[in-house]
Amino acid sequence: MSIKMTITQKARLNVVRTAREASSVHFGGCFSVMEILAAYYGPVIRNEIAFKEFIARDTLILSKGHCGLAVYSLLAGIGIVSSETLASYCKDGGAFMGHIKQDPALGIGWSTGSLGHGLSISLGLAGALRFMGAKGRIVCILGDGEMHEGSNWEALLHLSHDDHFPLTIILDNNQFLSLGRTQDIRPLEPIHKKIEDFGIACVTVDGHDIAAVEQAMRQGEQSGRALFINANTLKGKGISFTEGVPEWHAKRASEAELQRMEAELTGAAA
Amino acid sequence: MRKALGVALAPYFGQQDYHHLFCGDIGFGVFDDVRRQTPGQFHNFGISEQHMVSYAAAFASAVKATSMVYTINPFITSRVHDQLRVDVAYANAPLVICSVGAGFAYDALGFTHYGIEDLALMTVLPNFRIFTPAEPADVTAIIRQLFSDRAIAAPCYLRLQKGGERNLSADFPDVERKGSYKYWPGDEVEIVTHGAIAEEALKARQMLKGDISVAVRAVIDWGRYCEDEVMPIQDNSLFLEEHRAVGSLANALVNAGKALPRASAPLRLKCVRHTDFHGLALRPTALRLNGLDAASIAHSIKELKAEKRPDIKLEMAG
Repeated sequence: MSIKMTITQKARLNVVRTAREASSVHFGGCFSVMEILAAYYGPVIRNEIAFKEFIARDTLILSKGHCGLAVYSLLAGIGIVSSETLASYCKDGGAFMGHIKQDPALGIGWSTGSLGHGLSISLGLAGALRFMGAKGRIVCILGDGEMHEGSNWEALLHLSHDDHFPLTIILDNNQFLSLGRTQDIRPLEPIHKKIEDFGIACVTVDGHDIAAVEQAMRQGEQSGRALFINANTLKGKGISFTEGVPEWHAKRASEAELQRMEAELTGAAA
Repeated sequence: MRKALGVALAPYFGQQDYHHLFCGDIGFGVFDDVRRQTPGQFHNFGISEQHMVSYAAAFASAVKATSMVYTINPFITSRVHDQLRVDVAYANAPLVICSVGAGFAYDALGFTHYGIEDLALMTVLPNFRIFTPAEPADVTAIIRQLFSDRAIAAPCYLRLQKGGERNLSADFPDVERKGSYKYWPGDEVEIVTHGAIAEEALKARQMLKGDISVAVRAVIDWGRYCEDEVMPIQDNSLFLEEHRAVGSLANALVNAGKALPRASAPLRLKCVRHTDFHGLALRPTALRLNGLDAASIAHSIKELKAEKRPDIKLEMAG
């Protein structure tokens, strides 16, 4: 590699390399959520806490379950998932399927894929933590397109009434659905104001600024209440020809396109 | 049955704080004991069934203890089917999905509130166990079974009628409520049924008294009945169900390989056939329209008794 790669570059590269033999990869969402995941796993990445200790405390619910490969790729990048296991993604008998599945050993709290389930699940898990008096926090990552699901608004009404949950919600607000811009199809904005109007604490951050996302997460943890982080991101972030291009939501990449992606991520294209 | 549910749950909730009840803003008066004695374990989720089911599934799974979700039949079965499928069935959550309003129980409220397709939706889901009490005493026995231990091994569907049902088995103190039980002996025809329509079966039995000897069997635990109790269906069995044919107990038996339609053992099912409920039909009328009232049942039994057609393969009596 010609440049020193960041953890998120490594993870994106893992996505690209896994995609070579996988039947289903959602590049756009995997790339937009990567810095959010890096912020979530920040303490592990910096070796402040052992992974086992980390997942005993915090549980991840990736409500936009089609981006599970981003989680697996990041975990492979920090040595939690082996490259052989990652390579089994979407393969017959493989460890990982195209949508993320519950995996206690990886701190993944629930199987998702059908959109609009994760927030209610997260509230239920956080409610259980509260009931049991257990330490820890549930972190739920939503997609902006997923916010069209009515069930999310049922859950937000619940939080509007009672926000004393050890819960951080992060919206990967990458501005795109599968076929076009969220704002053109069913506008979600101004989401920050909508969430605040529900009476739920909300902060808006640059979702590709790992430090900013981490700081917001710490703020939620310290408050003892639920926090909604509106993380503005760019769909397809990190590759020049996938950024902001809706077709890369779930497009099957050609070998030439995969090579271009690799070249950009490794710096070989420079 | 609703009252029996509230009374049966209260002691278990009083003894253990890990059992919780999630309710879709119904049950006025039903859960008074639970609400008064253990208010922290009663959660009214308002009208948000999708959120309620996912929340309860996650909560019960994390606490590792049986909890219950309760609301009107179609709203806890068809409206939330994806949540039931993903978050309860495949997650194998220790959750009891309890519906009220089986069949035409909410007759005056119209077809939006009928519970005549719920079993089709619930029996198609993996892992679920199905419970169909015919009377309040069944509810008590089922709750005892589901809440005696900290957590059930698999999700359950408990299908209640509504309120005001009689304990039909009051004359039979020795009834053993396992998979199924017989109300009355009879050696010529056996009506196999579930839910509150058992009362119509008993009325039909009375109508035929002295003419045809009819037994009535109520099935309350489908898994136990299908796996442990049922014998290959006999020529003299008549299934009576306040539900459509798809998802019926008769269907479940066929799927379990216990009722292969064959010449020597035709399967006879009386169930809901009607498809147009835009005109208001109160329960007695709705049952009559579908041939599920006592007089129609008695008529079918007479036909069954007179019938000498061994070539019938699968007859779904209308």
